[in-house]
Amino acid sequence: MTDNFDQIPFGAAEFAENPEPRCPCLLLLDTSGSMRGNPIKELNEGIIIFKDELSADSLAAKRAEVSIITFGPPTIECEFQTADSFQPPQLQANGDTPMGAAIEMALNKVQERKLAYRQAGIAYYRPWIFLITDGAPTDYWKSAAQKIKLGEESGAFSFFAVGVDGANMDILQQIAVRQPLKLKNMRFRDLFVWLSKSMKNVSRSKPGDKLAIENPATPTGWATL
Amino acid sequence: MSLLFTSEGKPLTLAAKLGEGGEGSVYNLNGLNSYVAKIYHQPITTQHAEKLMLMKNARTDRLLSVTAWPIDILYNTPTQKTTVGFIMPKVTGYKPIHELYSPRSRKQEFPKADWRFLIHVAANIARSFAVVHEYNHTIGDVNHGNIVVSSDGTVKLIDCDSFQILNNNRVFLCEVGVPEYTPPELQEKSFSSIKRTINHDSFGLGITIFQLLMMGRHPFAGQFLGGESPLETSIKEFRFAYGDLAVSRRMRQPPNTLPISSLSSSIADLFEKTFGNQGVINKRPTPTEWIVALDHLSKQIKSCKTSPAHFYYNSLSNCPWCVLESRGLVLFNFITSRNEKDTFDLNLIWGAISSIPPPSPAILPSPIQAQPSAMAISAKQDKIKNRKISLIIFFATLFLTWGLFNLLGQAIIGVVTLLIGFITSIKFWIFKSKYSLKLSSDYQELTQKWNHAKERWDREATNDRFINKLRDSETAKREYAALSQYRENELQKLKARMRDQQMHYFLESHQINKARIEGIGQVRKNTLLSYGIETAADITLSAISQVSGFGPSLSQKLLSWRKLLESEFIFDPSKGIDKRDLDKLELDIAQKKQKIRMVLDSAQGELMQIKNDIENKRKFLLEELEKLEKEKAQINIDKKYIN
Ligand SMILES: Nc1ncnc2c1ncn2[C@@H]1O[C@H](COP(=O)(O)OP(=O)(O)OP(=O)(O)O)[C@@H](O)[C@H]1O
Ligand SMILES: [Mg+2]
Repeated sequence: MTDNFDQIPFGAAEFAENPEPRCPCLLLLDTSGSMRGNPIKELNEGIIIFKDELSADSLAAKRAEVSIITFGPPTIECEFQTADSFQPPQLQANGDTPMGAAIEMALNKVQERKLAYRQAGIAYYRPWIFLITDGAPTDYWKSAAQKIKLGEESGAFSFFAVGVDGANMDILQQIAVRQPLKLKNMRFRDLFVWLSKSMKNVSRSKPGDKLAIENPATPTGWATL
Repeated sequence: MSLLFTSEGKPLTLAAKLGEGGEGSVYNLNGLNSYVAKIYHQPITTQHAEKLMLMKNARTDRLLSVTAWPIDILYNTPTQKTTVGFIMPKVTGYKPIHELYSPRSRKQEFPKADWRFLIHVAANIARSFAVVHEYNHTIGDVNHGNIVVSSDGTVKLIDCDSFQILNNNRVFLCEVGVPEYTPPELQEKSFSSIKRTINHDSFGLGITIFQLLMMGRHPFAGQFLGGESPLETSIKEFRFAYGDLAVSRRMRQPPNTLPISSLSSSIADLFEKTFGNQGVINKRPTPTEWIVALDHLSKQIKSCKTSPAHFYYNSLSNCPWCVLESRGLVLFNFITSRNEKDTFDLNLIWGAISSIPPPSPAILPSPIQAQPSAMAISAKQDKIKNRKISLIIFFATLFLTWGLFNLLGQAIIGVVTLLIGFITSIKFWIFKSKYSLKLSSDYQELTQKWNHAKERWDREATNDRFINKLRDSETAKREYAALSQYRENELQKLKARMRDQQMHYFLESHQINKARIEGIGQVRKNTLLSYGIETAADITLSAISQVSGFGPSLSQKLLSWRKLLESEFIFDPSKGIDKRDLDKLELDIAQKKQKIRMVLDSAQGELMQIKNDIENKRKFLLEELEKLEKEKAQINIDKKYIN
């Protein structure tokens, strides 16, 4: 039986009109002052490509959901929405790098979204959190790192860290459970093409291929270890 | 890839890529318009090459009518050594099934599809499965993309090279599958060594049919009361979220979804058998059973009186789509089918409406004559008695005071006596009996009651409501009759605007995204898109001035591009009014018609009801008014009598 007298939660229409299983991806982006100039420009263009690539695939457009949190200070730029309705923002660079607080905000956001899916009876794949930074945290980050560890262990999400030139890879290594990747010469476009491809694969994943992702750290790929 | 060769050594070349999957890419073939080639990403095993050859030889017209079956093999040398792919019929105009079952994409990709269409497609899918099964082949990898649908509701199965093929007791396995469509008994098993059965296919078929009938919902996606439950787990644990048994599985159907009872009970039963644990042992419903049940359901459909887009199972008393729509969930486009048989007869309906006699004239109760009541008589007597006492006191006081002044010379006592005497006299004079006090308060209350009843009478018991409704119906009738004139007028207007419209569509066909415009790169194009500026027709100075980052020089570039196109435009009067404009007009008229029909269709019933209601109210209010009138007359006469 349905609860006909249940109140209609915000977002009911969204899930009724598009009940496809969701594949959430949260972009956790460093927009501190050091990203000013070319990096932020490349990043913005990368996000546009990300949207275009995902929405060109009629299934991924309905399944992949994008949310963007930037820091500093930690700000929700875009709430979770499917790729077909996601509007790439124009990000600006300023402020410091409160990475710890931003990560905790991201983890809460993901948790909240999963709850919304469950209440709406919408299936979902394991969420991805994708951190891109060019610096080191300027706040307390140990508790965030602990939470990432727990989340990865319980399969609550997958956390990926990417360092742009200038990033403190040692700290990233301590934050993320997975091996952090280093972006080669500002290749944000390639990164986002790869990310959209991975999202597309995850959103139509077949059993057996546990994580349907291409290794980006190949000689032609966008990353090094 | 350069030259490819068929099994007869005929050379072929690939043209544009049509699609790409996990295993291969599909291309057009130069010189072969109705066929395409699938070329594998990786070299294939000899066994898979053998399977393709076998499929080519086992093709039949019947299989080809429902699938994109391999009809020839492709090699990279004329000597047929290495198989690189195969040729199959091209399916054009078909879209993946997920575009149909998800409401949002359906409203765009299949704008006219209503629930009848979805049932029809579901039955066609079952038919295509039945054909494949006739040959003892198995589909295996049933999923959201391998079934494709056309706008007339016919379906084709693609990706046939992954089917499980049976030939002379040899089985070529289907080594892939998508978890959402995989039956519980195969969840988390490796497909590379499992022989698939028709019973496995029936699970995937059931999921697909459920998605079509239930607005894209997955039968196992619900609220699990025991925490997180991924689809794979839910399937494995038989947690079908719908139906009476869902509670026992600790599942709750998602909010704002159709109750399974909105389908016929026989369909609901087939779902239970497909998704419940008995399906593993006792065979799940076969495609043939689905065909019978769905065809039956398609004959038990009724249309909604409120929205022409709504069709539902005729045993339901209310339209389930209206219920959802009232919560803001619009799942079907509002489009009326123009070919529908016209059973609406204006004269007939108007005859029925105008033959209803209005309620007989309403007559208010006439004033009533009453006699003073016993209470009034005794009150009157009391009053007279008191007046008399008052007079006596008055004169006695005058006498006493006169005596005190003149005979005893007691001036002060005289004044006091005079005062006391007068006051007492006045008190008796103005005495009002209890009854007459009650009369005046009763009178006020009664006036209020009477006014109230009279108001209700005017509102509910006069013929006004009936006359107003009749007038509305008359207006609707007149509007209906005027529709053909309206169409004429609109057509004239369209004719007058033909050149402008042709130009508009010409400009609209030039997408900014595809055009080369100096100074406008992809990023700027995206910006324009995000402001809804998509084609040359959208380019106007005022529209561009809204877009941030577009100064005079960029605007000028866009405008001159539009100017250039405008100068290239050649008006062709022989084309007549554009079909899109005609369609829009027809839709507009159909919607107007529909609205008026609804008014008229219901008018007869409503008028009868209003008439009955007026007559009932009248009876009731008349009694009430008569009673009040009587009381009023009594009070009035009593008051008059006492005074
Ligand atoms: N007969 C056909 N005519 C036209 N286009 C086709 C045809 N067959 C396949 N395609 C297109 O090519 C795409 C890939 O085809 P197919 O699904 O057979 O490849 P695949 O590699 O087996 O994919 P998957 O990994 O999903 O199994 C399809 O999604 C479709 O768009
Ligand atoms: Mg395949």
